[in-house]
Amino acid sequence: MKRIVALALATGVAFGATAALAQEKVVVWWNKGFYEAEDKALLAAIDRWEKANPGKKIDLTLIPLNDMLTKTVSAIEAKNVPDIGFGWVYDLQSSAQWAANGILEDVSDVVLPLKDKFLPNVIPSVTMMNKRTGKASIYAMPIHMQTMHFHYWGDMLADAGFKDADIPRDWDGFWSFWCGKVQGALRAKGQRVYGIGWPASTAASDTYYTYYVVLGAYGVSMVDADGKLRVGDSATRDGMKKALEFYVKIQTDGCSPPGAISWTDADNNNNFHNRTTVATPNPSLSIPGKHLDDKNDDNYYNKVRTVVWPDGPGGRKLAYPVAVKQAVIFAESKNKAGAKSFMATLLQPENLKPYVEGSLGRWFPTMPELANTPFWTDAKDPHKSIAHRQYTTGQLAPFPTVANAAFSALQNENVFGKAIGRIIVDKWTSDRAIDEMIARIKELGS
Amino acid sequence: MSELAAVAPTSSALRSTSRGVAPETMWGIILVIPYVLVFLVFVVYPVAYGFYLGSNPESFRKLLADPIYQRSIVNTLVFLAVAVNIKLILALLISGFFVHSQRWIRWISVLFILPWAVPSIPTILSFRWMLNSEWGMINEVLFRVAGVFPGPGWLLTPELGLSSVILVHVWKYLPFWTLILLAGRLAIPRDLYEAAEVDGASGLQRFGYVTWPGVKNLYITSTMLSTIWSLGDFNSVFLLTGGAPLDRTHVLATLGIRYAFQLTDVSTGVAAVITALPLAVPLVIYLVGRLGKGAQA
Repeated sequence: MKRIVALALATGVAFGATAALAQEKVVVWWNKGFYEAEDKALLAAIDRWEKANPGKKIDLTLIPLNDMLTKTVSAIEAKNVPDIGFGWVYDLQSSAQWAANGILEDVSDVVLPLKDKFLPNVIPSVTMMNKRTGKASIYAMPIHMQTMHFHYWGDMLADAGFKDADIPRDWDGFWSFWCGKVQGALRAKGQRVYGIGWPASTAASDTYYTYYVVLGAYGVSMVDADGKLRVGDSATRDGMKKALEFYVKIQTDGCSPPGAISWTDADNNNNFHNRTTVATPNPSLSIPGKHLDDKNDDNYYNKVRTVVWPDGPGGRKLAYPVAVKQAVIFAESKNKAGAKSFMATLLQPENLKPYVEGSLGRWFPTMPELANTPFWTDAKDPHKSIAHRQYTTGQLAPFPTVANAAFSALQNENVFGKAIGRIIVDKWTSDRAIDEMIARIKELGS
Repeated sequence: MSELAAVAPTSSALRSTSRGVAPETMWGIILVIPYVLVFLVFVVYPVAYGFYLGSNPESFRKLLADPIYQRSIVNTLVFLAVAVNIKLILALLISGFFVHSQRWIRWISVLFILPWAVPSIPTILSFRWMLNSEWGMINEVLFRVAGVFPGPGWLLTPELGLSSVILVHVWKYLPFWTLILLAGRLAIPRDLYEAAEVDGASGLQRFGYVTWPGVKNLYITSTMLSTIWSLGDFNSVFLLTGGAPLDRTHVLATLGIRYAFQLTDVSTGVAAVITALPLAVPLVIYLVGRLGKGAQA
């Protein structure tokens, strides 16, 4: 009897193991969505791919934002990487360096067949230099993207005695409106509010993102298309210094909460939602998205407003820095063929559309056919329609990481937030702060 | 023959010895093997791998040249010196209150232990929100009561930030050490205090001549142990300030994470933690030696 039981057990284990071995597995680590609809859309795409590829299975792990980079870095160190990784911070913090160091797989064969489907800025954003081969190629797959928006409370504006039409469109007028007029009017009524929630800490990616917008307003580009640094020339240095002085002035004038010097990426959102600030920049539509998710239609459609940025100093048209969110396959992934097959399926518009739209507008699509839909163009939606206008009629600029991978490290160190802090906390002059920043950029970026 | 004379070995034991390992020894080895395996896999291997990851000399050169690392060393030493001593001194004093047996004091002791019993993450985050300079509870009260606006930036300067970290750490771990020292006090025989009272000793004299000699060794051992544990206190800094402002409130425990996962430089992150060993290891050796001497006494 004992022998029969043992034989039955052994057979069952063997069958199970054989069945598992017979199934080809693609290990996917994917950034968990903020909304259920995002994850459901991903699962639906996985289901379609598995049905179209019998015997192949996606081994999916959904990882929260805060853990994604930590787990990926650990996996790379341990040489036990997934087949596909998708993290919302990869493009800002790591993928350019990974590509430079030969850690990523070339995915041109996945992306190039779809190249005519993407917006013009997208392919350049996922084209990165590999220092080992000495050649640039496509090392990431674009999923969706973000840029900097500007939101304010319409009811707080009205409470201050102003209308939407009163908001100036010139650079200096725009900022003095929020800082001087709106904040002043509300403070006169006894409200302890600040005109703008202006990120100023080394702990927030919002800080360097917003600084890049300001740099663009001042016509400054720190790096050329070939990755060569421009920070050495005096005109660029002067522009960076003016941008830095403008940036710091909002804080030192008392227009932004003093706590901004210690903010993380969630804090400008929190300060806006609890109405400590009247207005704030934010790199995605997550602020109105929260009210849509809460089904608070009054806030979403009436009270929270989104507006395009003003023109830069001297009437210069702003170029919006766009961060393309990227999935990657690693050079040491065990099943690259399976990974590429799945990603080629996911990147099809019919699969990407529900995934991007599931984020309730937080992320913008990388393809015109997904962007030019009523979801984005309906004028009744006061936020997505503005975002659509920014992406389709405004100028879009790539992040400096696209041209020079060293900017990943500079962003991780947040040398830009550090320069801001040097002036605000250490009372340095802007010259001293900018020289320290430029020295570090040259040290890492040359 | 003395009762302590060794029992003559049995013939069966003699037979085992002559053939190999005795059954008792074999069983001992078998039962210890699981522990040894767990120790190798979960202690020796990770430590060895950690040393391997942090073995690049370039990482240490990078660390020593980084002003943030230099600042973290200072912060760590200040944190240990101030937080540990405030905590133990207060624990010694407060244990003198809880040594009384009245029922209301026992109820207070239950409330007193709560900070230590409640999980770190929600409590320290609650402190972070209370100390928020714009809408935190403390500045809100200051505004409503005294019209102070803007309120103090409790987490906005390196000095106030580190002080807040020390405050939170003491608040969280004081109850534990109070209990330890309370147990030490309760072990002192009551008749020593009675004799001292009969001799006319004041409260301070009773503390100096009866209490302190009774708890001195425990106090010193607790201080060493608290220093070793506090060296690894990650939560108090990470959750309260995150190292802000300007990465000026990092300690070695949090700095390692900054290098490893924010700057994606694992080697330097591990190297940062390794540099804490010259402080931790001598303390451990001294503590173990002290405990060994105590056991022999």
